[in-house]
Amino acid sequence: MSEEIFAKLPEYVNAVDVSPDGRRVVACSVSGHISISERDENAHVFKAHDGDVVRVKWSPSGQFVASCGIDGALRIWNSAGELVTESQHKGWSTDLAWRPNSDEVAAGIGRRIVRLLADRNDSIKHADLKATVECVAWSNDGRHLFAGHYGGIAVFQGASSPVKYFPWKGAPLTVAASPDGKWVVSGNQDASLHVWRFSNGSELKMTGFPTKVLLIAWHPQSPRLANASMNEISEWDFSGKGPKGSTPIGMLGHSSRVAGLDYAPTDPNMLGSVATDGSACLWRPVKKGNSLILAHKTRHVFSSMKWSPTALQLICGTSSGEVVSLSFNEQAED
Amino acid sequence: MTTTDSKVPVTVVTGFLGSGKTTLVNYILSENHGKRIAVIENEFGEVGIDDALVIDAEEEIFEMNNGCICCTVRGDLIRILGTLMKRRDKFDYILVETTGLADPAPVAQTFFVDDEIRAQLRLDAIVTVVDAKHLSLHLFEEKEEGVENEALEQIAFADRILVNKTDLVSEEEVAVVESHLRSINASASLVRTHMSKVDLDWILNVGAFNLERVLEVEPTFLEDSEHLHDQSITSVGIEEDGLVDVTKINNWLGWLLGEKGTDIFRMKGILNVAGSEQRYVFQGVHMLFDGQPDRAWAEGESRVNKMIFIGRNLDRGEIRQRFQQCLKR
Repeated sequence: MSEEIFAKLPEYVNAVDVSPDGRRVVACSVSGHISISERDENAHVFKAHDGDVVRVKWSPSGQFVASCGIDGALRIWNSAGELVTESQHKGWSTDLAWRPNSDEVAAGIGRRIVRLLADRNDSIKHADLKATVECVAWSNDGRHLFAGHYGGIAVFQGASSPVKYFPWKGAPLTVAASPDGKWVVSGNQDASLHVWRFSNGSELKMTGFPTKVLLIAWHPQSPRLANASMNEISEWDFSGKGPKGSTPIGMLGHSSRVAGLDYAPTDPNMLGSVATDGSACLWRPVKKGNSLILAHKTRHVFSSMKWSPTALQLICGTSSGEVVSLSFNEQAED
Repeated sequence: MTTTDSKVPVTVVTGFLGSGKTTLVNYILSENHGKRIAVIENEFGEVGIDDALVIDAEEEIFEMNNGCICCTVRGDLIRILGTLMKRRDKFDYILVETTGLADPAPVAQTFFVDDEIRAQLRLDAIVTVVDAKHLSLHLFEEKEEGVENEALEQIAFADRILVNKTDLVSEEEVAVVESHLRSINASASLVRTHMSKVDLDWILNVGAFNLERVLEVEPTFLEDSEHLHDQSITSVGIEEDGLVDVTKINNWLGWLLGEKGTDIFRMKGILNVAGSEQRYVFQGVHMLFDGQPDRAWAEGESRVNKMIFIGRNLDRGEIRQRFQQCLKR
């Protein structure tokens, strides 16, 4: 395991992301700054929003970075940190997502969904939803856009009004559709996971989590979903008729809130997680026995995390503004 | 014992439109108190630290699926407090100014129901500003059935009440206003103010939700004689000698929270439990209940059970009678 500082932002890092080629790292801070950095080069840090930058993400092509903030702006930058296009609205933005295989980004700003194209100077605004949008996600095929807000999940398909609605009296914090498009899952304020079957909207609820569920991640190839609530990680099997009545695989290795969780792109059966106690863990979820492969303790208070798409390397943001990479030796871990 | 020292205190300022809330908040900010205060102003949906940060946020009530009133929280506050907690080194106090029409329950409950907020922040007190000249107008305002009278609820939830604009009314009128306030909320401290000017120690770092300070303010129980007609929100105070049976009191509390939790806005109490040399203290907001053994009874201290319940349609006789059944014979 080796550790390297990629960049230093003035304050708490809200989100990090790695370019599809694995070479560049982007991070955003509550200070309003974004950093774009490449290994062995000085990070380019610039003021991007008035107030917290909530999310940053590389576009699928790797050409652009999208950012959104509590100033109600959605912005697209090129990899040099120059503004390409923007869309300004009232209310604050909580989440954004690039449409797969495109240069189009969608963000929730206040009660509405705003879509922006990198190569065009206009944006698509959808009709206002019933409450502030908390989370957005695209289906893997790019056809459907999911917007979670208090009261349910709205599904858009190009039109300005939702084509589908999954109503439910609760507050989703994060949403994601399974790679095969069969399931839509939200992690919620009331310490639960809510599951909808996309085809008919039939619902399922998983409860018993210690606190609100802030992180969920789908396995890129098989129907498995990982989630974190406080210091607990679990993995659910969605194969066949789904997880109804099943018990998840539980993973305990962190002693405080998990701040980042995802499957490794270079080794999808491996799950990585970091927590606010400075621990980073690698897991291979197994029903019986120990799922933990490696636990590493650092001095950082982790606030966010992303896998490198090309290496067994975690890129992490910290509460003090650092962007840190943790590289693992592929042979040594197994 | 809960460690509250590392938590950032939060004062919630409520009060009807035009009562002087904003004047109070501005007064607090202008005074030299040595605190770095972050302000969340819902009237305009703004939050400011060092005049740098301005966030637009609409009041948004999250009512969870199980229908329990205590799970009703303020989504906008969760969001704003969440972002404030990421820069904790920038401030050491939070003021939340609600809108004039805000229901105080979801605001208060947000600090107990959301785990991350509960771990880092502590609700210090609810301060309600009352306009002495126009209070009766708001109190007796006819509301459709099922519609809340927010002015009443803001008074019922308060730990501290500023009777403001006393310069605009006569001494007699102020006395009438104060007796109205007392009949609604017997446990809050009252102070008369002009232009919301008040000793800051009286409203900041009060610790009204700290169990250790339960009933530090001696409730003033007015018997039914002072009741306002048509007033559904009142205080019920109980003071009884005797030793409390642990099993029976647990059942009683279960009944109280289950049956009356929706109607009880605030409750506080000290109990003399049989077999214990320590005081048992509790406090609650609707169904959210917190109780624990406290310090030992002092030598010569009269071991009296004292409780106060503030809520809607409370039957003093019933609550008292059921409590008496919990006493050891």
